[in-house]
Amino acid sequence: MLMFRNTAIGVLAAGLFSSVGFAQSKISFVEYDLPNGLHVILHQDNSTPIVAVSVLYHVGSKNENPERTGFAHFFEHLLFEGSANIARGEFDKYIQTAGGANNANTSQDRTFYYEVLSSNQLELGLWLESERMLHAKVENIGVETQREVVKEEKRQRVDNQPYGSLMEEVFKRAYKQHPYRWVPIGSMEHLNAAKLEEFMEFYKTFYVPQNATLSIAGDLDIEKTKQLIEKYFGSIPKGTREIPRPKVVEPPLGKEIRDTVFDKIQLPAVVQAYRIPAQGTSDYYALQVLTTLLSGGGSSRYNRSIVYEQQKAIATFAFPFPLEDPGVFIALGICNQETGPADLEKAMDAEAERLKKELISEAEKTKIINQIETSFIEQNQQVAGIAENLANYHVYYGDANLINTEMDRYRSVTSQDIQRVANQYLVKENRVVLYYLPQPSN
Amino acid sequence: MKAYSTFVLALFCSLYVGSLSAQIDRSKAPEAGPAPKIKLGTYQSFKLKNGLRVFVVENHKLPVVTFSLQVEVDPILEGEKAGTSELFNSMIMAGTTKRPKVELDEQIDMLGASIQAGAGFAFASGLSRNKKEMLNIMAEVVMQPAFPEKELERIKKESLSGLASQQDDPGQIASNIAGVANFGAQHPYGEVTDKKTIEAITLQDIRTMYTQVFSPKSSYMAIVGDITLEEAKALTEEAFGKWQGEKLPSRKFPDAQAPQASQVFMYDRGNSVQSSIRLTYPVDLKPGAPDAIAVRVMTNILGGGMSGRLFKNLRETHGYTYGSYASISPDAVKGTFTITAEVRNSVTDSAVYQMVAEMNRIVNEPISMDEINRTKAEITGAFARSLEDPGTIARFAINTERYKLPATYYQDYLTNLANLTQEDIQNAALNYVKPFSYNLVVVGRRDSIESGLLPYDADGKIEFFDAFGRKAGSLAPAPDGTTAQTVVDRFIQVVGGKDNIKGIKEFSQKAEASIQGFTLEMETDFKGPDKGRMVVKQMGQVAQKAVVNGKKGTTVSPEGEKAMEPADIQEMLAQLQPVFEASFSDYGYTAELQGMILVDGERCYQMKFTGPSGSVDTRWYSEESGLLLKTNSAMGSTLYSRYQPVNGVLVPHQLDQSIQGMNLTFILKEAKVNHGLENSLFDLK
Repeated sequence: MLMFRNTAIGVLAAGLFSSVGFAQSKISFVEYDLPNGLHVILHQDNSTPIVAVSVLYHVGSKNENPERTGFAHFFEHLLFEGSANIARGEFDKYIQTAGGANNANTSQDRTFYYEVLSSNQLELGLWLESERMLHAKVENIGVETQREVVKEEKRQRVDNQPYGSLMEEVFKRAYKQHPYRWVPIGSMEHLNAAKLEEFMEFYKTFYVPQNATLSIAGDLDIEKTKQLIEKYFGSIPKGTREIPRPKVVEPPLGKEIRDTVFDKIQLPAVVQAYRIPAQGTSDYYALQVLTTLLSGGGSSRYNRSIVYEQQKAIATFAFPFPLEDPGVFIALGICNQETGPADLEKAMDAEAERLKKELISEAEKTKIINQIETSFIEQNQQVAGIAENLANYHVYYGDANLINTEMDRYRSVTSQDIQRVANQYLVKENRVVLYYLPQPSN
Repeated sequence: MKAYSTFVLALFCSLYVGSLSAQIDRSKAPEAGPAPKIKLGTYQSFKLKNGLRVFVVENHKLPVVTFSLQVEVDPILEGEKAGTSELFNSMIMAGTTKRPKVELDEQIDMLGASIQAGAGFAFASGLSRNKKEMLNIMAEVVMQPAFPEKELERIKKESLSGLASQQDDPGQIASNIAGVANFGAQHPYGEVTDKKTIEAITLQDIRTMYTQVFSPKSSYMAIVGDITLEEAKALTEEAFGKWQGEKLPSRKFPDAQAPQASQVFMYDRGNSVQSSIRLTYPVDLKPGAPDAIAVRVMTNILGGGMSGRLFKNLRETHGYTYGSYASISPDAVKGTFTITAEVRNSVTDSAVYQMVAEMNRIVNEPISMDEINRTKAEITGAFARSLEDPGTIARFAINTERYKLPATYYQDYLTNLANLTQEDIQNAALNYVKPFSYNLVVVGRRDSIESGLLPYDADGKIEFFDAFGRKAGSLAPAPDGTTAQTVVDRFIQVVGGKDNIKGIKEFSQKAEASIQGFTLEMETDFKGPDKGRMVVKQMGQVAQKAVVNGKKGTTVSPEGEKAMEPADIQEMLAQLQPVFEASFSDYGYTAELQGMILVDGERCYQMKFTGPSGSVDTRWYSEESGLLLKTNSAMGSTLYSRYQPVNGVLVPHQLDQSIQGMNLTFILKEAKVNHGLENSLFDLK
């Protein structure tokens, strides 16, 4: 096992390779499929007596019926309601009694559930997750309560939060056909209209073993864990329905879309959203590098030029939204009190133009790779993070081992690649520009 | 690897699948295996000659290392220069005597590291191959800051923009007001930064602060990760060996206490779709206090996460919120108790009602051992999980020294937790939960929520604040020439005139409401001037009754029969009148016009009626129609609508009541006037 890096060798290696990299401890894992199609990934790390049990269902808001948006996320709430063997409200209680922690989240592309437990409670985690997969119980009382809860979640995170509607406003303009045109929180009217049978249909279609990845990391014994997985998940029948996946190819935007959003804010903001390829493509990695160049750290171009030198913004961000289908690259600036959005936008455009004209220097590229490398390594500090990353890499890229090797993809990005993607994607016809302005007072 | 695993699995399945399927009993949760031993990792420590204490936790799992310096420094009251520490945090990163800000940023990013410093702390983390460079930059920032004048102007400008954006954030506003409510503006935990205080800050203030927040003799350094003790010693000596300074002085502040009785503090966020609620007060709880673990158990039961009572009640039972939580933060100066929730406007008062109900419940009702044991298990688990981060051990070591805890405080933590009794937890609730003396901070849409919150303010005067915790004017002044008398006169005239009202000597009403399948009936009878009767029936059975005959009166409730106080008799008679406003003063009430306010979007006169017992009845009259729209008293609030004539006098036929968190709609079924009520109806039994 390579769980612990030998210190002496490590120091030596760091000394030898300090300028070109280092021998990173590899994250080892085993993976296999059950006959019912459930994909299993196991990572053993016995350094702390805890274990993270996670299930990723490959269903997100993009799999929703356009008349029933918000379903995937709503479902995430419902699946804590109980099962044939777990009474309503008991799910959390089991976790609490076992001293565990649990939660879940939903994106455009997937729904993710996890528990972190003391390692002697691994079997409990498997039982809970298998109950959720085999026969979750969805009842009216739970539907009614969670409807209110989700509405409060939306009010808290979107409606009452300054700039909280940003994603919704961007995505509904950046897409006309693809289901990314709505965001996971969805429409409250759709949730109000949904009937209990529809929830059961959704469950039978998407919450099936062949659409799930069980990823477990921590203090476990691989062989014993395999036996337990067979015990709890082996008898879950394979789903019989076809799993709908959107095949819509969103046509190019064609022309720049500009709009204004009024919000409960004091400082205007500028949002530029450029349409880009899906995550995992080589252009996507080039854009990731470009992102760090623009807004990673105090010396990044946005921070240096727009925040520090020109003092036009109090904060700037740039990030490609990681999505399975072609997504968006979002550049965002919040105006300094004395700056108008048009002025800030000009400064942001100037940085895009510079990327198109000038090749970035080798020194700048080294700096960015160092930054990316640090965050790449730091994302695996906890077993819960490792379990999630392994599942994501498997589901999105079909290669869980990218947890060890993805860094090579970043390294292979050249200065020419960065210039090329800037010229190809950071163009007017390919973007939505939103000005966030303070709501006129009443 | 994959193919091999599948093969083994297939073999395994063919051998065992039958017997396993037969064994599996899904109906109950599997038994836990033997509990693993929770081992606290080890740390090593040393001290530099200048007094800097260093704690090292080696962990070579990943090639990363973290250095974190914390200074033992009491909070500083910044007063008219509030915001100095915030500007200081930017100024210390704005260049050293060796290199300007631009170069400093460049160096940090080139290492791929993250390095930050501020008033009393510094932090560096990144790949262990760069440990030496990282630590040197961190030391340079701490020991040789340049504090350039030109940077101060830029940072002030940024800070002013930041202040403006804070005014949008309901959570930030609530926290500003909570600080003032709990500690007062003259306390480091209560003072609030605004435009004026930012503008007053000079470079000298920044320099002065530097001398107050950094010194090796008062500092602890935690080094965690892929590094050896020898490396840590050599690197710290090189980077911080020349640092000089004496122990920083301690400071004292006026003591803060929970209020005598509950108070409401509000910020009117006109177009809010949710109310941000903070129920809060100061508490005495120092880190490592003897009852600190019991308090943690109790607080977790009340509102620690998804299994806390608040979450179960406000979210899972009522669907009021995405989450509601309670916390008590131990603090060497003064701790704070806080319950939080963000709820939609229409349930703001109901949510507060449930919060207070849960506080009462944990104080007054026995906490079951089952709940205590589950919570102990939860805390044990959290403790074990926290050990995954090697930084936890360094934190334990530094806390032990800084707060002078027993040397084995953390080794014994889980045993001490396990040994806590039901009484210990119950005592923690009794000592720290105050269901009657709290500050209730609410940021939300005033016209939708204010009147519902009045019952939670002991003196009935909600105070209004701006986003920075400064008092704001509350009610708008009433138009010139308007007095309590003119508002009352207008109402009397609108509902039918004095003569029509005086003509009513006897008055009976029957109203009905249904709740959760139950029918509630309310009957009132009045025979002037001194006989009255009120009966509440639930499914036809008398649930409550009050009868007044001349100078005497009794109430009958499930708790038994009780004689009424003279003042209560007067108040009941006044309330049973067809029109309270026509004769309130005859029964010892006084009236005060308090000002103008919006009630559900309608501009209203706010009138305060004080009864002979001292009870307060607040009433709102529409400026436009003159009609009474809403009342609020200690019992709850009522909305009045569907005014229809009864014998020439307009009487509301619909009453929407909100009582103790429940909403009831009473419909008037029957109203009779001068119908010859028998005196025997008012006999006291």
